[in-house]
Amino acid sequence: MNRFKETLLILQRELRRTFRSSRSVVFLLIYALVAGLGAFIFARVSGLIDENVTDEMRQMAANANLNVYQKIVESFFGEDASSLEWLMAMPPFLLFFYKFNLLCLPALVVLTCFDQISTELESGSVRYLAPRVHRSAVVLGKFASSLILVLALSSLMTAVSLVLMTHSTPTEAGAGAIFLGAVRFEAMTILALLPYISLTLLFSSLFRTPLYALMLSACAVLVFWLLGVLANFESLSFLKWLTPATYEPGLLGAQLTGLLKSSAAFLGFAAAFLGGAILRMNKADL
Amino acid sequence: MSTETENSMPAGTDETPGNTETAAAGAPSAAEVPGSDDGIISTVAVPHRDASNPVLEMRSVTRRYGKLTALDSLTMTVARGSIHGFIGPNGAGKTTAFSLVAGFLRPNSGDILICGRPASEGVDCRRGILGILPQDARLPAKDKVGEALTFYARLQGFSAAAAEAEARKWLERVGMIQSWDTRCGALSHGMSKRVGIAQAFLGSPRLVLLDEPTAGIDPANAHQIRELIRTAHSEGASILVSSHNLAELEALCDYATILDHGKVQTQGTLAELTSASSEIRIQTASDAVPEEALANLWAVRTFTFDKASRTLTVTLTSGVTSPEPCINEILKTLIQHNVLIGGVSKGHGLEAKVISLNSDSAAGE
Repeated sequence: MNRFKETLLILQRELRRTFRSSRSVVFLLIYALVAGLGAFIFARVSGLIDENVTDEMRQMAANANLNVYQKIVESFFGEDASSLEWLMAMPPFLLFFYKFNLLCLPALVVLTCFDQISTELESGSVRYLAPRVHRSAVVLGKFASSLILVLALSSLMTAVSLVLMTHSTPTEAGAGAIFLGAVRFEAMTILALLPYISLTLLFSSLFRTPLYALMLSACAVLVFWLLGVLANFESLSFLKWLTPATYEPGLLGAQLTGLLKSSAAFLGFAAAFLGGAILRMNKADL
Repeated sequence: MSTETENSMPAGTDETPGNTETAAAGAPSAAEVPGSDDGIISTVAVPHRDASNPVLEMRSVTRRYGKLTALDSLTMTVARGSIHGFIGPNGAGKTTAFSLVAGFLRPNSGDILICGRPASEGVDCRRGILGILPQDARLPAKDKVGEALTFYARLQGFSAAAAEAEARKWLERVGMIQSWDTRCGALSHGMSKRVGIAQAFLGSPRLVLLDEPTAGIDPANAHQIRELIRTAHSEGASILVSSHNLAELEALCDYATILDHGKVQTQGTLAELTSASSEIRIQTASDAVPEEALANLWAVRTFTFDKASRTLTVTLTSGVTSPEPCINEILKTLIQHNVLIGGVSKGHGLEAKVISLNSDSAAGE
């Protein structure tokens, strides 16, 4: 049996566990509720506007609000003119969900994945695996299952936003462009979350007590955020390169080099943390 | 209480460390094994023990935890076709040795060979070859028993259907098939242990390590587990088993290694270890024994006299290889001092040996 097959078997088991776990189901439900509620409110407001505002008024409001909206988009996704063009063409609801995912999913990743390895270490159940499977396959299988869980959560939001848009939100972009935009948002979300999944697994492999893994993973996410804040000070601006959030705007840029650089940064973060988790597991006394 | 114990050994296991002569190949022979308080007495089917073809070799293996040396240059061999007892007090290093063989830990120095392959090869030299019941490891609480075992079998290379069949087979053998759909977290300690034993035997590995397989298990189930070990052994598995229940090991094993403070104190066939049984009990009809005279005998290390039962218990000096002359000497001394002898029995062989070694070890510190 090769490592790929080992990883697949671990992945299968972890997925079964994940989607059977009450914690994961609760998070999925909460996410679905948030998405549904947001969609409902947005649709209701849009509907009311459509019913009560004349075309002339809408045009005036749109012109007046265009600059404000642009400022909001810029603050969310950076001031790259090339990306702004297609972002502005996307329905606001899709942008909102994308940003929401980027803000909330790191925390959700920590909450759903923190005990993946530490529980096995704590209970000793990893000893039933050790003579049968490479330790790296255990880490990779768990990583893949976390990735799929996050993908499911993110897809839920994107699906809701797409369904909503087709019913209520007027947009300049065609359906095909919106769909492609949604797919790109989805791919970028996953890419942006890879470091957080790897980081959580790293902490999970470092501690036998799941609570410590949770606390340290949460602290690490906060540190990333703090680094981003501190980087606003000119003397500390170099700190921004240490936090994955810095590379998020590049994912949406129209230029390929920017996209590749940002992707490489996220993959680099993820590889470093995942490599650390594998190294730690390989060296650990079980 | 004095018990008469005949330390009869299974045929074909009368091998000494320097003599690797093996029993004749062929159908397993049967032999009666010593009894114990919890009804261990049973008939053992003994496949032949092939010491020239070891399934496990540990050569000068040392493992330290910080400043503590848990295993100190441990050298031992588990012969193919044997049930090898691993004996020692708490902290002797038994679990560390098991963990090193299973790959949970790495040695600081020394070599471990599993079926001739270096343990440093990792999973590749263990999968399907080595089964282990780890001490204190809990099965994944939220997994169902059946799916957990099926999963472990799949990791050993079984197809989905074959893995399920294998899991069912071993769960039936440990009497846990009715718990197929029960979550592992809902099992009692004894039930978990039995499921753990089933997972150790999945795929009929060549070498099975059982770390205290009957600890915390009621006598009926412990008996069932011993029978399972014998059955697996008769089907070709070589087994290394640790236990604090020495009567159990005496009933199961053909060879034993006694460990203390991470070092091998002695090892050999059960016949060797128990023939030099170092404890004897002498039933007297007198109210006293000549204590000074007994204390002066070179063969006597310690002795106690229970006035109520008029039983003299003598521990022989550990260097004694043949107890009969010593027994004669003690009896002669007692008779000379007009002590009436009602009967003589050797103490429980392995237990007496271990206690004697432990006291020697404590005295040497």
